Amino acid sequence: MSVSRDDFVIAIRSAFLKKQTKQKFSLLSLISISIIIIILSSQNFKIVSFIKAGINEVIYRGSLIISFPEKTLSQLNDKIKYHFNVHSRATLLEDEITQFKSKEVSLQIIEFENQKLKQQLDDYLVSKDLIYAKIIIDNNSPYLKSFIINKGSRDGIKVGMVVLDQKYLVGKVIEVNFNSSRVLLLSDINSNIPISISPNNLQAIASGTGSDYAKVNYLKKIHYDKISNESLVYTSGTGGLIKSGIPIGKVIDFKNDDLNEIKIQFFSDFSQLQYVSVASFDRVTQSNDDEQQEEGTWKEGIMFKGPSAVQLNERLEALIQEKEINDEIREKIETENTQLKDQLSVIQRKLFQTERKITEQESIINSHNIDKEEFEFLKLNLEFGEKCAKKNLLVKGYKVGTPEYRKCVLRRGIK
Amino acid sequence: MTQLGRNTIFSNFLKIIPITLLFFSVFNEFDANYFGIPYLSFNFAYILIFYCTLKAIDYFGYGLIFLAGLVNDTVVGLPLGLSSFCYMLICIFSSYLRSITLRPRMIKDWIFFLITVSVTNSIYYLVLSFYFVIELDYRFLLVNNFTTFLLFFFFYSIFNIYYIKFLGRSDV
Repeated sequence: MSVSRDDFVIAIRSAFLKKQTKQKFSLLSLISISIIIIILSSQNFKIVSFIKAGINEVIYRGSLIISFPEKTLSQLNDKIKYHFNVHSRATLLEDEITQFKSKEVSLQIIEFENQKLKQQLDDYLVSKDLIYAKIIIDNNSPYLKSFIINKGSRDGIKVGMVVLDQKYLVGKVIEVNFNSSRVLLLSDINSNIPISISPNNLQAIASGTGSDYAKVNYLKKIHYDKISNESLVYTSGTGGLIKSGIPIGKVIDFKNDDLNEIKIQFFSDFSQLQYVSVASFDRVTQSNDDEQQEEGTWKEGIMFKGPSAVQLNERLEALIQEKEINDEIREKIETENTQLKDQLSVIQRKLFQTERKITEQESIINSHNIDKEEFEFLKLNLEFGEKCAKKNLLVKGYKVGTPEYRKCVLRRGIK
Repeated sequence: MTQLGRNTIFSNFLKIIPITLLFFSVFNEFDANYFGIPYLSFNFAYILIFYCTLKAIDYFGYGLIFLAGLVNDTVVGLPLGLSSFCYMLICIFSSYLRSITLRPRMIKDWIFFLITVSVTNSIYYLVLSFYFVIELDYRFLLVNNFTTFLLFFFFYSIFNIYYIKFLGRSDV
């Protein structure tokens, strides 16, 4: 491979300029085109974005078709694994359902109270209609963690909208085409989401790592002692783009050590996603509601003061919901009360039986103690009886069988 | 005559397999990390392009490689044109190697491939980080670089067997 300077120049020129056999383009021209495309794609020209969206549409559909066999195989593998684990999973899930059912009622009340309080604070964001989408391309790239969904600008998707898996945050929309959009996952290295860490409501930023977990950034080390494993992480709502309180994950492998980073394990398994919902949030302000109330509504030429029919309906629904929740709680408490009463009567019965047993056993123990004293006396009597008994008038003693005689024998025995 | 016609169709089919494989890999974003091992991945497209352009394989034109690059950018979500640029860089390196080589040797090709992939990935990282300000974990690229280099030997042997046995080429 040793070449002279001239040979080197010739070889380079040949590589760049010369069209090889059966090549229609020279490398130099193609490199120039690719550089122009790179520069154009970095600029936000409307026409470039339009062409790019068109290309994306075509290629996404093509990729969907071509990756079908691979995806089918992968899904088949997952299904087989799922099938083998179904029994153990069912047992675990049954236990979990029992636990969750009991928590659900109290959670509903807390949620309702939370909504009311947030409305009072003028910080309540409500989700507009959720847009449900299917994931069409998810190749789990090692570099960029993203996937493509089958909804685009035609369905009302916009850049920055939040993507959820049930109630868990998955990522946000970063690119929108006509019929498809790209979602950047929370695990991507370029993802940064403002978070709160419970229970102390610590504010920080969750940054993706490129792996299946995120790390906590911008949190002072003095707060580290307030964090523990299993601490819950949810969106803080800072910035106003994402509603606060959307669950993200929990802290794992945490040691209160300055060297360690704080890892967040996501609640949602990004590799298993098939359908997601896309949402945007609107701020509900108390003042607007008040204004509407003050203005009143016009109906058949008559001005009705006070809240509108829609508002009344909403309130009524909320009250009905609250009543239902209260009824459920009351029923639950009544059931618990009955159960507790039954338990109490059983316990009282057991207590009575136990007390009776104790009395019987105490009497047995007492009689046993009396026998023991008598036995002790007889033993001492054999030894000291003669000394205590009255034999004649000259010797001091007591008549056998009298209490004085008994005391004498025992006293001598103690000496 | 019919036999000859069939042979020609079959032979053409065998010839278009590499370019089909390239498009299949870019459409599928084929990184061969099905085991979920952290960082482990390799760039199959780099190996295929380097080999095919080095050996001047039929139906493996620069235009199609350029197009495959655009597809890859769209599927992965990279800035449009970046993968095409990287693929073209590989083509330049392989074209240069072909120009200066009189007697091809696998080890030389292999070492030269390491240089090629390292330079290409470095440019890829620099463009993404400094021009587009997209964060990228360089450890992924380093492992990818090394794994791609190691697996080149394996794929080189397979492609050689394919071309010699199936297509009857003796110059690969």
